[in-house]
Amino acid sequence: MRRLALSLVVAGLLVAGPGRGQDLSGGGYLDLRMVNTGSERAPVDGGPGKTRYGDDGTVVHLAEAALYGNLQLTEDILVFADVRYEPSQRTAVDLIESYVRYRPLSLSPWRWSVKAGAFFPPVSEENTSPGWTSPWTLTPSAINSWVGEELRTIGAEGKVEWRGESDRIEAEVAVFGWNDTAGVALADRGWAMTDRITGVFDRLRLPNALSTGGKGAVWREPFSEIDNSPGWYAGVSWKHEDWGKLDLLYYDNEANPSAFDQEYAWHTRFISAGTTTGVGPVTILAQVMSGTTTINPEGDEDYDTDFQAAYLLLGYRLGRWRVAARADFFATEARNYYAPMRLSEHGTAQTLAVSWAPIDSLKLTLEGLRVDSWRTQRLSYGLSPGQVDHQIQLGAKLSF
Amino acid sequence: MRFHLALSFLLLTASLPGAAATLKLQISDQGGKSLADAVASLYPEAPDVAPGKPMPPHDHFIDQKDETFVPLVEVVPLGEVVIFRNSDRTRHHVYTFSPLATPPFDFILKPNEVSAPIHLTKPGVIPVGCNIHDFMINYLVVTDSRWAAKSDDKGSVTLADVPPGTYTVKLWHPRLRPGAAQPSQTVTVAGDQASASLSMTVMAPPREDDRDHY
Repeated sequence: MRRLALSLVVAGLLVAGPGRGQDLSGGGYLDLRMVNTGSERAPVDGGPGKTRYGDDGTVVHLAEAALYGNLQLTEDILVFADVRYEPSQRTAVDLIESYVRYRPLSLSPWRWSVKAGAFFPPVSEENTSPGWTSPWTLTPSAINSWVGEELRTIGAEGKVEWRGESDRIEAEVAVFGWNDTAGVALADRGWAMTDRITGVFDRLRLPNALSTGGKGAVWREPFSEIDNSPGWYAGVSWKHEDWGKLDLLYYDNEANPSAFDQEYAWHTRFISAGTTTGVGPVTILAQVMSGTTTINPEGDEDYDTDFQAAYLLLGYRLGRWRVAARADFFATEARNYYAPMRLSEHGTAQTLAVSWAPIDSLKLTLEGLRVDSWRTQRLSYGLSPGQVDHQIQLGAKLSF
Repeated sequence: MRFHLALSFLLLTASLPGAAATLKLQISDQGGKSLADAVASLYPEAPDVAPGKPMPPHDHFIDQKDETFVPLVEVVPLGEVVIFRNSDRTRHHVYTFSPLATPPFDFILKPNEVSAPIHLTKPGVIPVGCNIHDFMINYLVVTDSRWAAKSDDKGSVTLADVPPGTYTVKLWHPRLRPGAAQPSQTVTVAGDQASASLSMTVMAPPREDDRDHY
């Protein structure tokens, strides 16, 4: 059934093709990378590394190929889908987002809308380009790497907007399911810096250190319903023409921390605040996130992991050039875990990216990423807990 | 809310006292850069100023092309008519909830369709949007001035047939800081040619275009 739904979406996108100014419109891109890393084994390979690509020297990768499309079914109803090919995902093609939005006209400053399907909660200040990518960097911040890996609203979101002369206030509330394992990656693996978004049908690899004997592969399905009860989020955002925007979100997947169905439900809740603003010609993006994820396998004691992260990105744009510098801070604190399993961590990361779009359909980006982190779990790999990971990427994104 | 209007205006006079003049205004922003799409409206200070030749009434067409309203700003003398046209291959749902549009209007335009004429009877700025494409915006500047026009790409406004006299020039721009009073300045017209340079404080243009991902 899920495969049938996906094939229909893909067929629809192929019919839509590229274009603007049609009731059926869309586009796509192919993202190639030449990567040089001085990092530990990557998380996608079960390693303790913090970057998308791990210990394999200089290699050319196809990061992803994506197709997205909009169908304006009526003047009030929009259907959107974004599908992707990525070499390491479970299915050949996976769904990143797909939803239906109903937004009737309002002849007053107030307007309401509702959307239903699978979509990202409104956390990120960075991921504003097609395919939930960032126009500034190849690799998102630690916060938005995690959002891409483990969060998807599979449910419905209602929104109310108030539209003033120069500002706009939006408030949204969503109810969702199938996000009961969100948080396991932060607790059992920690933060990572990766632009590999987990597709709706995909799974996420966790460190081999978690397996019996420490060598086997451990997987989790982020988009699973385990306790048969819904989660929710509520957010508010203020946009001002001159100043920029401010966003606030509270998320709680309301998972029962004792529920189990092939994997544990992780009760994850967080508060997130973000801003997009600027000073003179410099764009400023900043976000902070703080939360806790809990499991209670025996039903008698909570195992809590607190998590926090923040970043500040300064961007400068000149025509078809962009330069971005970002500083990330992240930490987790595992409480009530017995000593050998201690999974806490802390770290910082610095990202510098320069991009140039010589023509509309090609964007070249050179990005350097350095992640300096301390994680006791590395002892299980025979490594020192403190490590510095480096990743340099030259990306070529061909869009149509 | 702060604004300022630079006092740096020049006044050039020539011969032929009593004849109507062509008034050229040069509009710039606070940084001295030429400002396009600024609307200048002239109001005589003395009520007995010669009326001059009225602007010939005409219909105002607003096109929709590549999901953009063209032009961004249209100056509409009070009582004149606006017509929207869709040159895209997609539908547009044109609307405004401005109380200056009586009543507020909305209509769906299919490709190549043209709207019914809309009479505008209250002076002021009416923002118009598309409910399908939220980023589309257009401003109808309905004016009760006999002499009003918008600046071209070089920031230049030309007002024809302005009789000699003293006038208040009121300026408006889409990026005028909301809540700020409209900048205004006095100019004197004598002879058949007059010009003035005016500057106004506006907000910086948006940092990102929703549809531009270079």
